Amino acid sequence: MNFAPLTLELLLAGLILIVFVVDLVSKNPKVLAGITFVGLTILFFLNLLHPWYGTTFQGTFVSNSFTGFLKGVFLLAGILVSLGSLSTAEEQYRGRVGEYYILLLFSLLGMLFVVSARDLVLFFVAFELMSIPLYILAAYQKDSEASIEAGLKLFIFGTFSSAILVMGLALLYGTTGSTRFDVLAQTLTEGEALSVLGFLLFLTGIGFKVAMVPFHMWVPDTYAGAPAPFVAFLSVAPKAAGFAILFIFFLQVFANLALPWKLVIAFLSGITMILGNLLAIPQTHLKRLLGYSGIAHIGYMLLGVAAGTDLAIAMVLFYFVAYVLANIGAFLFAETAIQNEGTDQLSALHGYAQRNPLLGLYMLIFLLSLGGIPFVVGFWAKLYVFLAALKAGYGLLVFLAAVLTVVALYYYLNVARQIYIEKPASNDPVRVPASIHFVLLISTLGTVLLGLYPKLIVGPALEIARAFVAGL
Amino acid sequence: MWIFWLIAIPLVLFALGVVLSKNLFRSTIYLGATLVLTALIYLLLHAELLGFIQILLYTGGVATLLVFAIMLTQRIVGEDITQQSRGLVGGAIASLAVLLILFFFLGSSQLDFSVRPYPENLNLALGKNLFVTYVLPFEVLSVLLLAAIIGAIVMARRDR
Repeated sequence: MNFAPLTLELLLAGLILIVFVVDLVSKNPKVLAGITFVGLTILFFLNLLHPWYGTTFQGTFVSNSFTGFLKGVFLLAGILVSLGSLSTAEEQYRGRVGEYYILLLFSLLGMLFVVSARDLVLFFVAFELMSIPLYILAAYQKDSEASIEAGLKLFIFGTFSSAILVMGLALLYGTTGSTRFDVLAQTLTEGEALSVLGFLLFLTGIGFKVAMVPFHMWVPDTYAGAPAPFVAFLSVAPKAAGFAILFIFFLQVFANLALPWKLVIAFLSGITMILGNLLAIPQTHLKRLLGYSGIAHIGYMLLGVAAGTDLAIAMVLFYFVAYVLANIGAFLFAETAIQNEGTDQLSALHGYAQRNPLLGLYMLIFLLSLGGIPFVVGFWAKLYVFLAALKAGYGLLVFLAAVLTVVALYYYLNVARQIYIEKPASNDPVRVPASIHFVLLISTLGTVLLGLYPKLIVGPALEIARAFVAGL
Repeated sequence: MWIFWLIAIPLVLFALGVVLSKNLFRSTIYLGATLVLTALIYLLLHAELLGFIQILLYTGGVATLLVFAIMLTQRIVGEDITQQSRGLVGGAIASLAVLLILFFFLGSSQLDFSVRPYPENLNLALGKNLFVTYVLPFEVLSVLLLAAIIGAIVMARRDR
């Protein structure tokens, strides 16, 4: 048996064990966060420099440049969030910091497996390994009713959607008699009614996970109630995994099932963009606003899925990177506000740029990136996805997306206005924990650097997407 | 065929009882009955292994645990926990819609639904599937269980 393609997963499992053992000896949050941060950073660079490509376990586990890129995105999110959670963990998770990081790493391990799985059973088990720790982490602020509510909502919606998903997968197995993706791709051909039902249930289940409209209703309350550093993770990493799953299933498993899935996705993309953007406008709390804006971003990325070309896949991959940096940054800014003011209400952010100019600048850059202003990475991400969709023939939808981007600028810049123009209520300096400051700095640098030189990611992403499409 | 109906009709009634009963304890008992009857349906389809696993795990394990959980919480909380069934109309419409969708797709399916024989040596086939074909998911599953246990302990434990 060839274990080489599993190296990254095995190393991450090893890291979990290390954190587990260290937690028995030292309960110091700094030590635990440090080990997680350093371990994930090492894994990130190992994955970058020496990816273990290959296929093992009778072709049910695949590691290639496509999965390698995604694993890089997950690890990046893990690195930023492991450090970004430290100050919250120190203040609120006393005595259970180790478990916090262990659960975070378990979820990451699930993500690594889920994009490499080419077998329904492995896929579903990995999917649950990714999801279940998230339910617990959402409710980790046990003394906050909002956090418990967030966890419960995520749990109920999550398990319910998992049940729908597994029903769909069972039907796919039932109609073909195989759980392997390559066999499924060949046998799911004619219009067998139960395969169609399986497809619909699959789409619904994943729809809940990536929060596309009309399966988005858990997002606002969960994002508003759960601890902000965790939401930073929840809003990017599992979403990226969900999109990878969509690509793998649509382009491989359902490739020969004659279904108008592109039209379905295009339609869902449209309503997701519209609803996310419009509902974000009246929000008065930063986390809730970012929740709705996150739904809007899902809509933009779905545009790339609907296009389904190698160009579109590459641009969605690039979008993940842009989105991870800006969104994690914005949520950690929200966490800083919560730590200082006790609330993430927009009116509490008045004059933040005067009280802490550097913090204000970071947030401004994240907002510009999320809004898609030129020369920060978010602009290129949106532009490239729109162009790819335009080339695939979705002119009308791209027009809609462009209009909605302008609408989105209104609420993003409204946040910037609160931070920059409104008079501060007090002149106390805003305290930013060093750990969060470091993460904000990295995210800002990444956002600006990739904004000036997007080729750094776009070039490899194009190659990866071409290889992925060619290798189907 | 009549055996199927003999099982299916009480199964649906008990399932309704789970949802509609105000008494949580009774709901659990109905749930146990529902699970046993489902197991009987598996047996009817010649899926002996699945049927007995269903009884072993769900009736013997899950339903029993639920009974214990209810008894213990009632003692701690000191009052009977009642179950409320709100949104009955919406729920009924949704269930009916799901039923109709299932009927539609099942009705237009061209699959061969005849019961296929089990492999002769069931144990061998099971072991091979579990420890050769699906050994990786099997191992990942144990990691998943560990994650779930850690999560449950963190949630249930009092902070020091």
